[in-house]
Amino acid sequence: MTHDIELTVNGVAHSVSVEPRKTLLSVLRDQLHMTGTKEGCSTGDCGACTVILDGKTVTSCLVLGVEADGSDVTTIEGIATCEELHPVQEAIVEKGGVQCGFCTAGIIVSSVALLNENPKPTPDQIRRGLAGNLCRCTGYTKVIEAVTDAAKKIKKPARRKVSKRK
Amino acid sequence: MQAFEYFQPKTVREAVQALHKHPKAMVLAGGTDLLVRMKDRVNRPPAVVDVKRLPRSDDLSYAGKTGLHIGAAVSMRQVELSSVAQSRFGAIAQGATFVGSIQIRNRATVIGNVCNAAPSADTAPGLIVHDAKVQIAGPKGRRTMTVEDFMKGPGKNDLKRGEFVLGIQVPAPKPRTGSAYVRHTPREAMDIAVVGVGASVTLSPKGICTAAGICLGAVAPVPLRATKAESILVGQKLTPGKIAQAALVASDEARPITDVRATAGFRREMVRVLTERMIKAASRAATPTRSRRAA
Ligand SMILES: Cc1cc2nc3c(=O)[nH]c(=O)nc-3n(C[C@H](O)[C@H](O)[C@H](O)COP(=O)(O)OP(=O)(O)OC[C@H]3O[C@@H](n4cnc5c(N)ncnc54)[C@H](O)[C@@H]3O)c2cc1C
Ligand code: FES
Ligand code: FES
Repeated sequence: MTHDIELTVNGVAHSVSVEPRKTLLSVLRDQLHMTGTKEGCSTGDCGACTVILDGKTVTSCLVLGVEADGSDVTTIEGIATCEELHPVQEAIVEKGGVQCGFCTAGIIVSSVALLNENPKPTPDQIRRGLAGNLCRCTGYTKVIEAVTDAAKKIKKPARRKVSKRK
Repeated sequence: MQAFEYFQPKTVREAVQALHKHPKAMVLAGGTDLLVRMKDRVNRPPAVVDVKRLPRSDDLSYAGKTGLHIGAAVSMRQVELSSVAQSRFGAIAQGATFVGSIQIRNRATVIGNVCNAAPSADTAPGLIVHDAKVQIAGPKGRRTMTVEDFMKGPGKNDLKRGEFVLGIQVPAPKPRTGSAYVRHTPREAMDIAVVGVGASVTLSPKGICTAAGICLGAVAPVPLRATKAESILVGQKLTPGKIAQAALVASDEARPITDVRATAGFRREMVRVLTERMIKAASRAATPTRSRRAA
């Protein structure tokens, strides 16, 4: 039996009919055809499938589509705007934090969420924050450098504006 | 994953009915254990009952009289970031912080950790040294029991057909109580405890230990309370000598096995080392900040 669910992905509302056994990852890739989110291990270990679900990063391979009914999801497709890359993406490109690219979507989504919570992380906090994102190519050093760099790039005036609105 | 029916009860009664009606149904919380096993076809439940949308299931709250309440949907990350958990229930908060990655901790629940009943479950030693109790709902009504008794063996808990865990209640610690948890893993993160040790101590105003809890993870079929080691501490001043003696006794009480992660002998030695460290950390946490500064 399928369930009709509604979820917002990168600001766009979708109604989908899902089988309970389909993961959120599968709903995103196979039903909504958003293939930016990758499947590495399928067991929660590698983080390639990381998305932001109601404000929190999750491994979408361990979430059922039906569980996401009524939720707000941000995937890698929702990180850049049409005009420009997110500072994390820019920094990953500039610093060489990407090689084969399979882990990259997950690393970027985790890093963006990390910087939202903690705008000035130490290298150790970045390492711990990205502990659930495995990369077989970069050796992580360039990734850590990129996230450190992105934190500096994210303009302070923009954040001040947000806090004033409160 | 094999096909299954999915239920998302909105009341406890609906949840009990769904579980009772489908004898082989399984409860789904964060899914970080269950979905992995369903993918591997180790578990093939015909029905899955998601307890995350029950009323108050995401409640993590503290009251002086009743202590800490942890609902069935409360995540490791909620506990990790909770200031009351960090300050009053250090061993539980620290256990939650060790689990997996941020992504896993955002999904994994404390109650799922306990129900899953792995000997290495990182929140279990903290819950047990704090005398936490599980609140169980079922066809015959409600019952409670200690986390220690609830975890029965690797993957086995005390739930009967139609029952599930509604919440965990952790009594408010007495004044001058502190606790701490640590685990040993070859990797810093994303690993399973080779040994985990939780300890709690309560001190009198004069610094005598009036109560102690020591619980060992991954060295027996269940998280194991080192009762002989605990009794060495009670009624004593926690001198380095007493602490070392208790740690040695704890390593004797452990019943480790040799497996891919470590030999039994290594585990026993790690129990000694980590128990010593955790009693010290717990008594530091039990010492009021002012006298700690003066010292
Ligand atoms: C990548 C990865 C890393 C991990 N790292 C760690 C780690 O470092 N330390 C650690 O201890 N664990 C770890 N785990 C295991 C797992 O995350 C924890 O055991 C977690 O707490 C399980 O909670 P859950 O909510 O995801 O449980 P679920 O998977 O939803 O459920 C687990 C079991 O408990 C039952 N259950 C759940 N809730 C209830 C309830 N309310 N009433 C009755 N039964 C219930 C389910 O039926 C199932 O059998 C890891 C898992 C993964 C995938
Ligand atoms: S594919 Fe989800 S964590 Fe690896
Ligand atoms: S760039 Fe290849 S896995 Fe990370």
